[in-house]
Amino acid sequence: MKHLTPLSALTLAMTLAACGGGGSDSQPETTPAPAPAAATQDVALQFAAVAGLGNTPVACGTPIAALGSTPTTAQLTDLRFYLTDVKLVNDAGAAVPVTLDANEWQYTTGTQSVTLIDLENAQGACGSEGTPATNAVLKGKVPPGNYVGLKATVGVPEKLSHSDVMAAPAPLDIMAMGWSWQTGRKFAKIELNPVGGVTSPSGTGTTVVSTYNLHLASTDCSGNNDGNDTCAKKNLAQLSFNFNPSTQRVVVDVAELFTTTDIRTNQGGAVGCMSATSDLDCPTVFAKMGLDLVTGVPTASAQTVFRAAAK
Amino acid sequence: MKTTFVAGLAAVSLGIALSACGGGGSAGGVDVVDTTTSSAGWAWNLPSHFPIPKVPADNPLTPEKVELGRFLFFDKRLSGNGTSSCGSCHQPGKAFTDGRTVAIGSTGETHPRNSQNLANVVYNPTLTWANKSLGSLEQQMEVPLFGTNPIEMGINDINKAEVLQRIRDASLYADKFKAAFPGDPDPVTWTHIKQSIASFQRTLISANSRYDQQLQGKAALSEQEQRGLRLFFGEKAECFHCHGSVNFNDQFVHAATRVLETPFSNTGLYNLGGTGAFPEPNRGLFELTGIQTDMGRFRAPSLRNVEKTAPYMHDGSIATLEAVLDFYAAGGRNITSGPNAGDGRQNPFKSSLVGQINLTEQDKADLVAFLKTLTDEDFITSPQHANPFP
Repeated sequence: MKHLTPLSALTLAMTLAACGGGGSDSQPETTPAPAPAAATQDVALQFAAVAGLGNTPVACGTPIAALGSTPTTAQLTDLRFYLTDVKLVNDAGAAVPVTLDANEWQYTTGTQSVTLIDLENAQGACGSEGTPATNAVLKGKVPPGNYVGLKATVGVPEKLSHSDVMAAPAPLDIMAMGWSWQTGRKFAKIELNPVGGVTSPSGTGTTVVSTYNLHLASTDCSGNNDGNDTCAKKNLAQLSFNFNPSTQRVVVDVAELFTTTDIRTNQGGAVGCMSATSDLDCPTVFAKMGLDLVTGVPTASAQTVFRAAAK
Repeated sequence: MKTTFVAGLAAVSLGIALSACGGGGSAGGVDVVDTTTSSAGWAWNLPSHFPIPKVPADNPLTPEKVELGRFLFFDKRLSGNGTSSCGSCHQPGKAFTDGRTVAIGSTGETHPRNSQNLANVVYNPTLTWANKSLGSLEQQMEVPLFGTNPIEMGINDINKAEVLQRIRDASLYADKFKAAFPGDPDPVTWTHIKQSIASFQRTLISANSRYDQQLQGKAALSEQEQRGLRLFFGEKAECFHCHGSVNFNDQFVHAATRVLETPFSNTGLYNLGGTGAFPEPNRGLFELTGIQTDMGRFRAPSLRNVEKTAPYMHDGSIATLEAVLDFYAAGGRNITSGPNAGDGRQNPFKSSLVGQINLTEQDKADLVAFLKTLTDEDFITSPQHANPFP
């Protein structure tokens, strides 16, 4: 099905484009004015969670071997992220915005849009905060063309991010993706339960807790909490790589994300990295996401967690 | 800092003016405008030395919302497992604190910080101990309701519908929601819950302590309390620099505020290994900004009802008012052993307003006596602030 769906959608789109919306099904191919091409070609960008360059699939409820700088078996407890500003790059090198379809995983208002990719299914350790429903596809439309690259931002547009999570439309209504202390949304929530737990400083000694967290989001936010707050540290990770939406999918490599991080040990602050500039556990995962923790802007080195792989 | 100082001076002149003229109405300060229309629909009943509070335009106060908010504030059904309410950590009898060193959430998780008092919280431009991002009570409330680090009320995606249904099913609320949100066919929503609780919180005004009564000529302070007042507002003890607003803090916003500053201060409570560091996970504004000089900077809390809000400091690490005065007299705290060892008096990021001050035992006793005049028994025992559940 996954192989067929985009193709059949494409066929459908072409059929509709040929009809030109003119009401007649026998309209000839006249195309008088080469106006900006309408976004009529369906695209369905597939996502999948993997571990390692072999693209070994990972899922809630199944132990994942050898994660972290000291290889440790761990279970996924969450894997969700928002994407915005998604563009496909055509063979002329132009980045073309994807016009999102409307569904419960995608929301568009004006020029701003957001998609929630939800790769957890509430099974196993994901049950603590997860939801059974999943979404591994971003659906939208682009002008007809030949697309060879993908650009996207892991994040939520600032205005949408600071909306009321309890009153916002889907998919901005997921409380687990709320970021109440900074009035916004988590952009990515990726969590692991390593075997043996996470040793974390506590008072005069240490304590062992279950989950190593990555909560990637903007920080140093300010405003009147009226939906117009702005954040000094944006922490918007940038994806940009060659990509063929027909034959490839985007994989999220949790092994790569944590490969320089000891997920058995929390060095301080929130357990794992919750994007605080002072969090000693953040620099390694931020580097993998192509982000500078101190300034909140993308680094010269691109992120290495998301990449294209064969479907 | 400039504004802080001005506020301090204004408070001093206010105090002096009122003491001198016996509370004869106009105090000549900047904060006594009583005619703003921003709070139409709500009778504040404030003494003249309290300015009209700022209320968000999209959540005007009404008696119905305030009353609904009081029930919700104290309702344990509003936690994931039904064991905690807002009032569990904010108890009226303890001036809306809980008496614990640090708070404990509904699932037993320990909070890193001491529960804050809520008296006059409507005047706070930022909320919680060191978070300039939280400016509205509606927004701040999401942290205890839905936060997971730590879990406080424990509402999440899995139980949020069930929790809301509990409120919907409780017969006592049907009329209250209808009255608070008239015309709404389905008024039991999270937005309305937040708006109602915030409305209740905004009415938690403590303005009738003996100190306030004295300002209005309705009561007199003892000789000792007056000595304490003079020390508090004087250049010897210098408490007023950070506790000089009418709410006895230095972050203060009201309906007519034009220029707002939101200082956070390092008072020399810690200095781990001489590095200036505060212990995890309580490092103050630094956690937000990552700026080294923000290490250990917290918001000065209001001292209203401070007699009832022990223990003190962001982590509850000082047990008594007397010990707090010893701490400030020394210009910080020197911890000589253990993991938190370090001489806080020498913290490189300490506020320049916290220096060693020579307080005699008599001075300290006088200051404590004055601080106790900020206790407002009406505030603590008011039926309007009370837990309606048995």
